[in-house]
Amino acid sequence: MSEQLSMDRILKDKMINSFGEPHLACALLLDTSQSMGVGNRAIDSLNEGIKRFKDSVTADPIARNRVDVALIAFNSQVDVISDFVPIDQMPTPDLEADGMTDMAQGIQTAIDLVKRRTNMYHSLGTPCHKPWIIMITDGLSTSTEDDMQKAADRIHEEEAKGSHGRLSFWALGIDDYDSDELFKLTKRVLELRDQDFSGIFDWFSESMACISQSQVGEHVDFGILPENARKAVKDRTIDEDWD
Amino acid sequence: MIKDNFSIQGKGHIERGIKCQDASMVECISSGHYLGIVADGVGSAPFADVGSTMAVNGLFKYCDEHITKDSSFDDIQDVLSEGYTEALEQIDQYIRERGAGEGDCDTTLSAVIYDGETVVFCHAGDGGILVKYTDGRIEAITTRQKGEDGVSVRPLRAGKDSWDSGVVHDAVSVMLVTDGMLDGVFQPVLVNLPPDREILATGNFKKDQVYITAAEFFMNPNAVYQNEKIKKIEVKNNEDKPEHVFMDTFLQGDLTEEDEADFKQCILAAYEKMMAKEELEMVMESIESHYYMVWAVANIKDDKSVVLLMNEKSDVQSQPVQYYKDPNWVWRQECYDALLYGRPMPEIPPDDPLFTEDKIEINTQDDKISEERLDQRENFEINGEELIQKEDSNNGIWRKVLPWLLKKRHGEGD
Repeated sequence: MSEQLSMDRILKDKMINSFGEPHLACALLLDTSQSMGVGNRAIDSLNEGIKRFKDSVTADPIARNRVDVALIAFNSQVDVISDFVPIDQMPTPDLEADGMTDMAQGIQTAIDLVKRRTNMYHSLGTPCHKPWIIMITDGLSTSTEDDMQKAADRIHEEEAKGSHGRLSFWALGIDDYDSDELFKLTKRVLELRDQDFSGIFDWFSESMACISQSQVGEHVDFGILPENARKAVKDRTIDEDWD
Repeated sequence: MIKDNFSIQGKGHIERGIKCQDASMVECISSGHYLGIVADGVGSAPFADVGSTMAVNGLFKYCDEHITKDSSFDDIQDVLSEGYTEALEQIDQYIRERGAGEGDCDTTLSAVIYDGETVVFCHAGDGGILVKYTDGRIEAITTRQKGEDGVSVRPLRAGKDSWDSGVVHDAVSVMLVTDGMLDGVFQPVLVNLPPDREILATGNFKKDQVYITAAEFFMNPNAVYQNEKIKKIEVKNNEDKPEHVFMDTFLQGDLTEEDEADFKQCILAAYEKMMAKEELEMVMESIESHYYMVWAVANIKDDKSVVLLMNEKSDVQSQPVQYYKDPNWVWRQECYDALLYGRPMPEIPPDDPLFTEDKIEINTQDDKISEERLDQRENFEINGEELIQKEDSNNGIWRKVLPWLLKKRHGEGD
């Protein structure tokens, strides 16, 4: 009796890789305005956190093949540092803080990229999980009120599409972030104390790994947030409706 | 006439405890015509399995009662359309009686009436119908009916204006399949890659190429159904219908290396009378390099439905031997990665039978269409132009690389 053909064996021996595996697109939308560089602490910690995020997700053999990441920075302008690449090929830039905070334009660019990515998956018949945008910011947006409203409307529109939404938008506020502004964008607002990104990036990478190993559309329970991070309400456990 | 049908619960559905939502049937109806039907209950619909079963049974009954020996092809086309309407009304009535939601029984529905030469078909949804002609070509005669988002399916409920119907002649075999088999095996993405990332993002490119090895496995009577060398071929009787054990086992997808050997045997049997020994060896070498078909069937998570009708007495010509070679899967995989991640496209290999300059011209035409569609797509309304220009300047991809590659292929490049 022959052994059942293992996918690993087939993929390894036959050199056709995992194009049929479900992918998860994650866009990191990073505030690099001048305030992030005060004392260089936040921007330096953010740079370290991105490296840590890459290393953690890459260490998971399943997540490594399934998580695609884009990096977008915004200050007075929006800079697509990297379009979507496999997590192990994600660049780890040394971001520098400068300029204003054009958050609205950053959000619009991130949504454009994510939707374009999702369209590519669909066109290729590649199963995909609901994409994530993780925005990290420390301050007030300097975008116009009208532009911020348009950005918020677009997030809400994408999150309301279909039976489970077509986007999960997360906002991580640090220091004197404007919680009212972030809550206008999404219910998924996290806040970070002490500018140490290591724990929260571990949490993001664990969440990525959990989702990437789940069935498309399956509910996933996220872990407990690190000590220095919390949901922007009292409860530190992530609600089910955050998935 | 060889006829068979399978509706097999997908591995993904087994893991999640979801019953098979496909239904299928193939019978000789009272008029003497053969009727094949396949339906795929839409996964998000709570009573998808009910919808697909009702659609198949309702259409069968209507066709059996209304098609006569003297029916013309036009008459049959009308009856099929009326049968679709009748099946839809029965489903609507079921929904009304139970107070269920409008789309709770949503299903696709594809059907053919076949007399051994001519296929009359009707089609709703994202499955497909493939025909093998007397000259040996195998083509899909339907296109996937998707929603505007490119993901959702236009089901039977989309109505008569959405349904596709027609008549094709000179058919020696016809096969109906649901989307899992269509997208995974018969028209997989690797044989239908777009020429560049811009078109990939729009989804507006042709996906009409057929993976011939897979299609021949099912649609060539010598491959499986008349192949006496396959030991596992048995036909057992149960209460419902005779069951082809080999094909059923193969479609279950729990495949072993022994199945690879059986698959090889089937393809050899299919081709050995069609080509010279050297040609056969060349074709088999391309197939054995990856056994892509075996991998593809094993990898499908969705329910799998196949309906087969083969006129084994037909005279069938062969296409040129290149037609039967497997694509260069490694190159196509590299193209897939390049498209997805914006890497430079690999050079076109000399041994890929599906790559032709005609294909490029077709896609160039698609490109024009896609640019029109870009303006209509919500995701490109804001900064879309800027985003696309950036994409082009960063990557170039086939749009810029192809002319050079083609020159090189013809010995004109440096």
